[in-house]
Amino acid sequence: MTSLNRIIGIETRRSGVVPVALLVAVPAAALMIASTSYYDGRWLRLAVAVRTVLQLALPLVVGGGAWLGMREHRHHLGELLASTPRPRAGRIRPLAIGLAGLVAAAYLAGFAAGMPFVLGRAGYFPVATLSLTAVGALSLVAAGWLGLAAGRALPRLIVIPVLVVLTAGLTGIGPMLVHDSSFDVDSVPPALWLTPVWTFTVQDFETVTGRIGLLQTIALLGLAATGLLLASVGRRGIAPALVPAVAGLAGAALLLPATSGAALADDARALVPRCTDAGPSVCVIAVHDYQLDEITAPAQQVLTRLTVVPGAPTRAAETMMDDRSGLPVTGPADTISFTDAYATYRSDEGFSVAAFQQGLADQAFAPDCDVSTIEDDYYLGVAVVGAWLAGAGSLLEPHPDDNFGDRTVLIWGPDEIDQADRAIQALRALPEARQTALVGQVWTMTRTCRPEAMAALMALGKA
Amino acid sequence: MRTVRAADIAPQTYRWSIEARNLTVKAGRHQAVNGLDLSLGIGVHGLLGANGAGKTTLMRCLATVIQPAGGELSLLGAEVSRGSRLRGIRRDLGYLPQAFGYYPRFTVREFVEYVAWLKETPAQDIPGAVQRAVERVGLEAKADAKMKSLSGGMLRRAGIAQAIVNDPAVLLLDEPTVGLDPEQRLDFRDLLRTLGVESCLLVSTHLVEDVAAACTDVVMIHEGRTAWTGTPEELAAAGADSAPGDSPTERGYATVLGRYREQAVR
Amino acid sequence: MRWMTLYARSRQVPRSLFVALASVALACLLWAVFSDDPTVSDRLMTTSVMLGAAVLGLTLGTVDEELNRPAAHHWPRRRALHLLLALGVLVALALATRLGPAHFEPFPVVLRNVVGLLGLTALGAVVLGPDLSWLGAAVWTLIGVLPFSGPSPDVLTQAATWTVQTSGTTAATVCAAVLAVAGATAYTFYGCPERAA
Repeated sequence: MTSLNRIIGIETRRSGVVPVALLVAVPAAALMIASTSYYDGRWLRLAVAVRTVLQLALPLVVGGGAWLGMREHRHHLGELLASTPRPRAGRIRPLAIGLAGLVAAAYLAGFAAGMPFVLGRAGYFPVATLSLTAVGALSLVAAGWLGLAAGRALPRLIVIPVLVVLTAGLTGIGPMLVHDSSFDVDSVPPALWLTPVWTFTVQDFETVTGRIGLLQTIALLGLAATGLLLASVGRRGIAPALVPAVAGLAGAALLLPATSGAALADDARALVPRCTDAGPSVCVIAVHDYQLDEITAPAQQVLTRLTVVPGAPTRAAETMMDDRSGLPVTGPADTISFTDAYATYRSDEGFSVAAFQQGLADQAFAPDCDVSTIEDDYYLGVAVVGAWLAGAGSLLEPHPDDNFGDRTVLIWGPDEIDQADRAIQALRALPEARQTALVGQVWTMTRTCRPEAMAALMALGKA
Repeated sequence: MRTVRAADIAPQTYRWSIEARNLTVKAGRHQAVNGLDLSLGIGVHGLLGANGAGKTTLMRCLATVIQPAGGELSLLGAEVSRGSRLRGIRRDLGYLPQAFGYYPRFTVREFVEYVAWLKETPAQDIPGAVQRAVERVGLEAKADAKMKSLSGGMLRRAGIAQAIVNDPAVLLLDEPTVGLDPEQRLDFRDLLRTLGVESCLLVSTHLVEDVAAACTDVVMIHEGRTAWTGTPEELAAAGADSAPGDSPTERGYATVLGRYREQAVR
Repeated sequence: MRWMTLYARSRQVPRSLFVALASVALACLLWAVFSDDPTVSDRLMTTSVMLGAAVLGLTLGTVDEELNRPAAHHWPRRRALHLLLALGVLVALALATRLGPAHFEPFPVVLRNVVGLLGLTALGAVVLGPDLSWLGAAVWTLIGVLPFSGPSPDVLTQAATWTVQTSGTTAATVCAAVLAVAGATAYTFYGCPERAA
């Protein structure tokens, strides 16, 4: 076996396997580092991000495999090889092993490039991270071997870019276009789960079911086996070589879920609350516990200021978003609910403490009655209260930058900002007892739906 | 040091290393070898013939690259047309094709090692066999240079090194002297003589003087048939003074070929 | 004319032309079948244009550059002409889609991508040789069509994913223009390397 190992070493170093692997590893690592906000602190999202980058890696590995498969032809080695005893299957083995090893390593390099942004921050490790990564690496092995077979069968240079584009179209671009034209996840054909390129939207608290990992593994093992067989056999062996791929794809198709959405499930362990030990209780779901350190102090500041209000909430806890309203699902009366803080309260500079605190204020002071009877002033009033809760001298979010493409949507006009800022300053100038009394009135109003208290608050700014 | 294998000391069970009876081989649709008879044993055999005489097609067939279209061919006592024994024959075969292909980024040593592996040389013998092959062709100094950095002459020598790495019982060299300078050709003839001591070495060439200097006997083919066989001395002696050529061997070649053509016409 | 025919055949131009045509035709056909929108998705359009540039890139050199070089032709002019013809072919194919149900549009975006990708391919031919000339264009295009690439206010992102930016995005246009000028200049004056990779 030692001689095979030596030949694997020679082939791997000299045949172009290394450039192919670098062609995957370098752009993959660069893309991972350029898109950390998608996955930072979350293992499963990291694994999904690398699987998304497969859309680039898979076609390049198929092309690279084809390039390597043409090697004997390109260097006119056929004549010499035909006179040697080692059969074709044995001859291709060192190259196939070297290629498989290095493209799998290149995949892991993409994963490793994202690890510094997760390692030590994430407190929850979903096991699906491992299967997602293993399937991703396996897909590159299958791609490499299929490419090898194609290059051997059709040693023409023009085949390589054609294969690259066909692979990209079939595994990534095509599925993406199908997604673009669908309204929700269940209107997407479940067959799209057959591609190893990740094309679905996954929430942080969701996980991909084991069934998907299984069916993708079966399909890819079949394809990999067919690739290796096709690269090994002569013309007569083509039909039997196709059997594993057909069987694998058929088996995978049988395992497909009835709807695309059924492939994703809530991860109960990701949803377990993780709370602060000291001070007013602040909780996040387990998968977001990397956010806890940063959001605890601002949340506790708001909770502490709120204690002056009778019957005010004493806890802040992360919940899911209500799909219809886009607001957090409310919990018990003593709890302010918020959704994924990093995702919801994000500005160009990253997590926005001010927006988060305003969000908590909005939620705490959410009217407990029909919203349509509330005047516009109400929301500006809550913005004033938010600033007061955060101890700020002006509006926390004068320009909430919800980016819609290149447009920035402003919630408040310049007059309103002026008015609010004056109200905040006037409020803070009042004696402490008067401040808490006013805020207490606003709080009571939200419970009883009486708008006068808010008018009194805003009147401070007009005077 | 080279280890002695059981096969090396086993008694030989065949008379001729290469034996062909009424052999026909096609190159495309053309019958390039057409009813050729050949019996070659240990020694250095020169294969002479004009361009297009069928030399390369014959070499390719003897190297088991292409199948005979008809007739009989035995290599090392085994029938070539029976595919099952091909693998065994190929282990004892060395072949330098006319168009020698190689991986340009391999070093000489790596390429020779690769071929040794392709010839299923036992793992423990490979390092020694590679070193010996590289030394025999005088490429030690360039052993770790990339193939693409070699000059034409060195490339030929690397090609011979890969052909002899398995100590082949049958060694086929197709136009090995192309690209060698005069001094290299002298060295090369020495190499041929040593190789011919223990194997059946067939050298195809159209350079008559190489044959005269290094071969133990000569096979001349014309239009796919054996035109003449004999020793270089016999070839030189056969030369008529009137025949074209600058040496006795060249005149012998011209004379023998001319005589064969006349017979063929009749 | 006879010389042109021989030149084209020696570089396997017909095969490349066929694949470029097939690439554009297939993109339009698939789009027409699966979508009601007359404008082909920019991702599909760009990928199809990239394949066209890639296969035409293969014709930018010959098997043996060393053999060609000493021939007494005015190579720089010939190479520039070759690139211009490739550009013409791709632009003509893109314009021809307007005759069918699925169009490559808007034209400024299509032109930007054709010019930029062809320039990148020519640059690839100078650096890597004709066989792999398409590699850079393929990698950059595949990055541009990733799901998280798209129109962005960030200039760096605009340049990195120039193939999918909206028409009039300065950074993307500049990126394509630089690639086109660099590729055309380098290829015209240097041609392909003598020893291909």
